Amino acid sequence: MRLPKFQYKSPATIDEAIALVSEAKGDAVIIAGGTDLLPSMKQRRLTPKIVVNIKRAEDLAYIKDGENNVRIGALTRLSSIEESDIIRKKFPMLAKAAGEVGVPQHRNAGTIGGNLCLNTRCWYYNQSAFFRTCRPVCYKFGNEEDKCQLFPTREGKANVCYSVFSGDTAPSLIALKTEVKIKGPKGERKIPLAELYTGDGKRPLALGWGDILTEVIIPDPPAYSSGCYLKYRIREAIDFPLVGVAANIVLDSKDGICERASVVLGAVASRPVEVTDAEDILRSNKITDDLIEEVSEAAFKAAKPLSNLHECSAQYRKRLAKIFTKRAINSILSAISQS
Amino acid sequence: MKELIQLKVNGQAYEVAVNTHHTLLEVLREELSLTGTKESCNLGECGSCTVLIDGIPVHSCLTLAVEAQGKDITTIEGLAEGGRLDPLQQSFVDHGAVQCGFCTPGMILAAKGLLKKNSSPNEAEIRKAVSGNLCRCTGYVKIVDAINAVATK
Ligand SMILES: Cc1cc2nc3c(=O)[nH]c(=O)nc-3n(C[C@H](O)[C@H](O)[C@H](O)COP(=O)(O)OP(=O)(O)OC[C@H]3O[C@@H](n4cnc5c(N)ncnc54)[C@H](O)[C@@H]3O)c2cc1C
Ligand code: SF4
Ligand code: FES
Ligand code: FES
Repeated sequence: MRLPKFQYKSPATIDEAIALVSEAKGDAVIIAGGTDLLPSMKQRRLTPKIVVNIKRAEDLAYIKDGENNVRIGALTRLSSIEESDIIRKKFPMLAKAAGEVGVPQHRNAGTIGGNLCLNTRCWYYNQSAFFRTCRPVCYKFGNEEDKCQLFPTREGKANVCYSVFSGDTAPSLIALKTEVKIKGPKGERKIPLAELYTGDGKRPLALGWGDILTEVIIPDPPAYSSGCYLKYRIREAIDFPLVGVAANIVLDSKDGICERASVVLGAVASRPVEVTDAEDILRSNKITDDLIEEVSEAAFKAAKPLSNLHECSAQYRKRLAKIFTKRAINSILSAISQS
Repeated sequence: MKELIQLKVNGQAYEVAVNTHHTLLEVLREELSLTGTKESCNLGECGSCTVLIDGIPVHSCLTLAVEAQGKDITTIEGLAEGGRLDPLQQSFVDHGAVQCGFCTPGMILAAKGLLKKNSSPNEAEIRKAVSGNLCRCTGYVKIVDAINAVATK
């Protein structure tokens, strides 16, 4: 299976890369580690005319421990994050999430930027060119008028794509209130990571042509805080998450009152889903089993997976979101009380 | 589009004109005739194409050949020295960890990558290191034993 032909560019600066991609409009893509992009190109889901390597452009592979935050360059390999002493100490859940992406070979090539900008997935879409010779193309693959082949909308209604965002690191990073720096044709901006995701399966990222994610900025963890990421997949390696739950909790003292709480679900929608009720339920309270039950019920309600990942049913994934939320919060509480 | 690139494979320098859309796997096998690196799924799922780039295991089927320029590439052909098998290779033979042999080059390089970083891994670390390498024959136990025997205790 060969890659389709393309022009390969490896500009010396990030600004040149931005110019190349923005001028080419939809005809150019960025390659970082290539572990998500190249399989899609081999199966002809993506056939860009130009592939722009950003690895030569600027040194974006770093983990910097700042005064009140940790900054990670977009081209930092997932294996470097998994093994970093800084990340393991300050954000163990991120080290764990990075360490659960695919297999070692993916983590040795795959970058944090590529993981956050991962394309969404669906069993109908993630198929070979051969599959598409005998089945109609769906809305995500095709044009505005092509129907979603799994959940078609009624005649006359706008199409919707429900493909799933399955990046492993985004839920933890959102729970940690991470911001990302984006450089583009109009300059540089900083946005909360949560705002990178549109929720639209056809165009899952709020990035324009030529926008490049350059840096991930995670605020330092306050005292008496801890996080936990739990991932469900069929095999212990290789597989994308079928559900991912990231939770982060800040207490005012050991076994004390909850000051902040966030629960973010992965792989249940076209974007990471924040369980917004979690903070309302837990804040200003001592966390009890009853409250944990209430939060997990909120996670159950917030998770609205559809049957478009073939490994297990949507109902099962929805129930797992609840169970994992409960487990995650319990493990956080015991981590804080043992710290 | 072709580009003239320099590749350093198993310590030897090559100058090859490669298609920019060809992967390192294709160039190793088709241009350099180094067919020890195996091609199977071609999609980053099976690990049979694993090579070391600067000592780190990656999928050569998901690496553009042009992006391997200036890096140190090790394939299975580069392990034996002067006709003597690498200790890992010998251990695979001794433990019966090779059956059809198709997964073996990738498996050994994934293990080599681990041992370069950590010369005394425990069994869990060994299993994790080869978790991206599928084998349809051995059932994995003998492979893990073979790697374990080489790890310094
Ligand atoms: C078999 C297999 C299993 C996998 N399992 C998992 C898994 O369990 N969990 C998981 O999360 N992922 C998984 N992946 C996907 C992938 O390996 C990782 O998500 C990886 O982190 C992607 O990073 P990359 O650098 O290789 O991305 P690339 O493939 O280089 O890029 C991915 C996308 O992001 C864009 N992009 C990359 N960098 C930037 C940037 N800085 N700014 C803007 N856009 C950018 C690219 O244009 C492309 O569209 C798997 C892949 C395979 C093939
Ligand atoms: S959910 Fe999206 S990717 Fe899946 S078939 Fe429908 S349009 Fe295609
Ligand atoms: S051929 Fe590269 S991973 Fe299967
Ligand atoms: S020995 Fe046959 S696939 Fe592993």
